[in-house]
Amino acid sequence: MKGFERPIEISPTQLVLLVFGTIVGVGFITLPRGVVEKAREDAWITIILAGFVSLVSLWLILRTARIFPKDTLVEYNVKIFGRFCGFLFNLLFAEYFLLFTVTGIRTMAEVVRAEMLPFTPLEAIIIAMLITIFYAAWDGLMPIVRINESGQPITFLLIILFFMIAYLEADWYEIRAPFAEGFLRVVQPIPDTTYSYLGFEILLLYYPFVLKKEKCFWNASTGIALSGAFYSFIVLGALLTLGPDVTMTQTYPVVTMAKMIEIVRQFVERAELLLIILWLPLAYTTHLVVFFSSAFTMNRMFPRISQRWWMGLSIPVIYVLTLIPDNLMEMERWTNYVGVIGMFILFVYPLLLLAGVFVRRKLGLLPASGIQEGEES
Amino acid sequence: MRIFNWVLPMLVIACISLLTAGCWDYQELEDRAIIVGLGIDELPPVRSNGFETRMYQVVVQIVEAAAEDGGDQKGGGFGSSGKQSGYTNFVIETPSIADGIERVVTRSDRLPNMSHLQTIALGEKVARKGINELYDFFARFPQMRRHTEMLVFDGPISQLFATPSVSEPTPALHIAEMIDNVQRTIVMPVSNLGTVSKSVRSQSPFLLVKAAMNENKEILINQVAVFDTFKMIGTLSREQMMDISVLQDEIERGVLHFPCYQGKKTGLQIIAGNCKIKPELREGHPHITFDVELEGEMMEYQCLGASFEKPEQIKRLEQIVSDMLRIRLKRTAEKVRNKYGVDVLRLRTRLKNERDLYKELRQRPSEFFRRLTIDVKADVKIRNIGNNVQTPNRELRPK
Repeated sequence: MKGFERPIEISPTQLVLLVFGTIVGVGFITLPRGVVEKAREDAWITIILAGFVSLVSLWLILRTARIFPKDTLVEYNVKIFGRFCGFLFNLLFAEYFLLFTVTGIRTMAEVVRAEMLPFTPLEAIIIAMLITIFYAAWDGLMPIVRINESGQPITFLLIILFFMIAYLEADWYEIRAPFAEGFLRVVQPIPDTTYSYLGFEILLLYYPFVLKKEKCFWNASTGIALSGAFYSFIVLGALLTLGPDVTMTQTYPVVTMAKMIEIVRQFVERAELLLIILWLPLAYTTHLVVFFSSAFTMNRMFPRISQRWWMGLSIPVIYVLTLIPDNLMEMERWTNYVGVIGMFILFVYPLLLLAGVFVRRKLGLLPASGIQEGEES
Repeated sequence: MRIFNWVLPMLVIACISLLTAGCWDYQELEDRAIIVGLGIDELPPVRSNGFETRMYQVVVQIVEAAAEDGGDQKGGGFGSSGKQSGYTNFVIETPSIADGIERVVTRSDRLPNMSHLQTIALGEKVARKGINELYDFFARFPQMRRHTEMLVFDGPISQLFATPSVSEPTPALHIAEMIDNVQRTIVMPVSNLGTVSKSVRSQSPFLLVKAAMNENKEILINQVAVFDTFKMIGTLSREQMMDISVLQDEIERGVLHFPCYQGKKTGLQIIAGNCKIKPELREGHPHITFDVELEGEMMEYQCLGASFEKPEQIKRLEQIVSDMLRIRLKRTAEKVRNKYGVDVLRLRTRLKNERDLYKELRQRPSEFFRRLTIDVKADVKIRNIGNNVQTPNRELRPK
C-alpha cells in the first residue's frame, strides 16, 4: 500500500485551500442565474449572507468533530447511532459524495462541449475527466491536498485578473442601493444560495488529519470567506456587465460574461475559452476531493476492500450515472437533489449528531465531554 | 494489488493518447467556413397550410483565409463564382437563420463556423417588420459573440457585403471597423449584439447604426435607427444622436459644433464629461434634470475678429456655449420624448435608485413618458484654445 503509510497531516494553509478548492467548482458558472432571478440587484449581498449562514454550519460540524478528534465521521456515526443506523448514515454520505461527483462531472462536460468542443461526444469528455480524477486520487489524500495547495493560489489569481478585464465593461448604473426592494427579497434566496457553499462538509471526514485543531474553525472559515468573496465578485460582475435581466436568462451567465471580453478587436475574440481553461482546474479540484471522499468513506466502512478498488469500482458507476440525464436541465434537477442532501448534511445532520451525543452521554454510553475533548491534546 | 503498478499507467496513457492526441473534433482551417458577416433582409412571405411564413434573404460572408494571407485566391464575389477576393458570399432564401447557415454546407465543401462573426446587417424592411424571429438565434447560439456589430442598411444587403475597401479585403470586417470607430466617438454609444440583448431582455428600446450607400458607392454612417419591441420605429440624425449620447452619459471624444454668427461654426472637441440626472416628482409628474458637465478644447472658430487672450473672454465663450448646449439638449430630449415616447434616454437603468419613479417607468412606460418633464443644465469648460489666441481681423474677410 505504497503512499498510504505516509502520515496524513493537513496544515492550516492546506486546510484553507482545501476548503476553498472543494467549495468553488462547477457551480459558479451557473450561480448568478438563480440568485439574480430571486434577489436581482442585491444578489451579491445574498451571496455574502449565505456565506455567514455556512459559517454557522461549519461551527456545528466542528463542534461535533471535536468530540471525536481521532475518528472520522464513519467511526463516530456508529458510536452515536449504533451499527445499523450508523451504517445507513455512512452509506448516505458515500452516495452523496458519489452523486456530487456525478452532477459536477456532467455539468463540466456540458459546458466544455457547448463552448469548446462542440463535435466531441459527451462520453469522450466524461471519460477524459474521470481518468484525470482517478489518476490524481490514486495516492490518497495528501497528493489531493497538495494539488489544492499548489494549484489554487495561481488559478484563483489568474481567474480574478481575467474577470477584472470583464469589469472594464461594467455599467455601474446596473446596481442600486442595497435593500432597495426590501430585506425579504435579499434573505429569501439564502437557502438555495447556500448550496453553492457545499464542500466544507468534508471536514466531517478529514478533521482527524487536521493539524492545529484549535485553529480549524478559523482556517476553514477563511476558506469559506474566500469562496464567498469570489462568488460575490462573480455575481457582481455578471450584474454589472450583463444586467439582471440578461443574467437570469443565460444558461451559463459567467461564460456569457466572459464573452464580453475582447482584448484588441479581432485579436483575442473568444475569451470564454480562456475562462474555461482557468475554470477547469477549479472544477477538477472539487470533483477530485468529493470523488476521493466517496471511496474514502466506503473504505472506512469496508476496510477489507482497498480505497483504490473502491475508486476503480465507482468510476463505471459515475460514468453511467453522468449519462442518464437527458439534458442539462434534467441534470440541474439532480444537482438540486444533491443540494437538498447537502443542506441536510450541513445543518440537520450535525444537530442530530450533537443530540445523539447528548443522549448517549445521559445514558452513560459515551464518556463525559471533558474526557472526550481532552483526548484532543 | 501490484497489478495496478503497471496496468493503471498503461491504461491512462492509452486512454489519454486515444482521447487527446488527435483532438476528437479537429478540423483543418481550410475545412472551416469562417463566417464574418451575416446580412438579412425581408422577402415576400410564403403561405402554406393557412399560415404565413416570413422569408428572409440571408447573405453569408465567408472569409477566404488563403486569399487574406496573400496566397492563392479562390472564390470571391457571390456564390462560388465572380472576381477573386478575400471572401465568398452565399445568398440564401430561407425562413430560418439556422437553416440558412446550415445550407452553406450544401453549397460549399466546408462546415460553417460562426465564432468569428463580425457584422450583422439588417435590411430596413426586416428592421421595420421586426427582428423577433431572428433575435433568438443570435441570443441562443453559443458561438455568437456579444461584441458582434449590428447595423441597419438602407439598400440591398448583398450590395453592402460586396463594397470594396482599401484597408480591409473583407467587407464585413471593414463595416465592423467602421461601426467600432463611430462608437468610440460621441456620435454613437456602444451598440452591438450584447447591448441589443440587454435591451431586449429589460424591455428597453435600443439604437443601431444606420448606414446607406452614397452616389460614389461608399458606405456612409449618418443616422441611427431606433428600435422598440424588436421593431425599428424611426431614425435619429447624427446631431440628435450626439445629444442623446451626452444625455445618456455616454460621453466619448468627438466634436460638438455651435454657431458663432452668420451661420459660421465653432468646433469644440470633447475631452471628458459626465451627465448626472436628478429625478424628482414635481406636482405628481416625473421630472428629470440632466446636469451636463463637459470639458473641451477649441478645434475651430470660423468667426473672425475674436480674441481669447484674457480669461474673461474664454469665460464668456464658455457661458455662450453652455447656454446653446442647454437649449439644444433640451430640444432634442423633448423631441425624442414626444416622437417616440420610449426610453431612448436610457432612464430605466439610471432610475434604479428612485423607487417610485422606477416602478412607474417599468409598469407604465408610455404614461411615464407622456407626463415626463425635462430640464437641462449645462456647464462647458474650455481647457485649451489651441495655438491661436486670436482669429484673423474681420477686415480680412473676402468681400
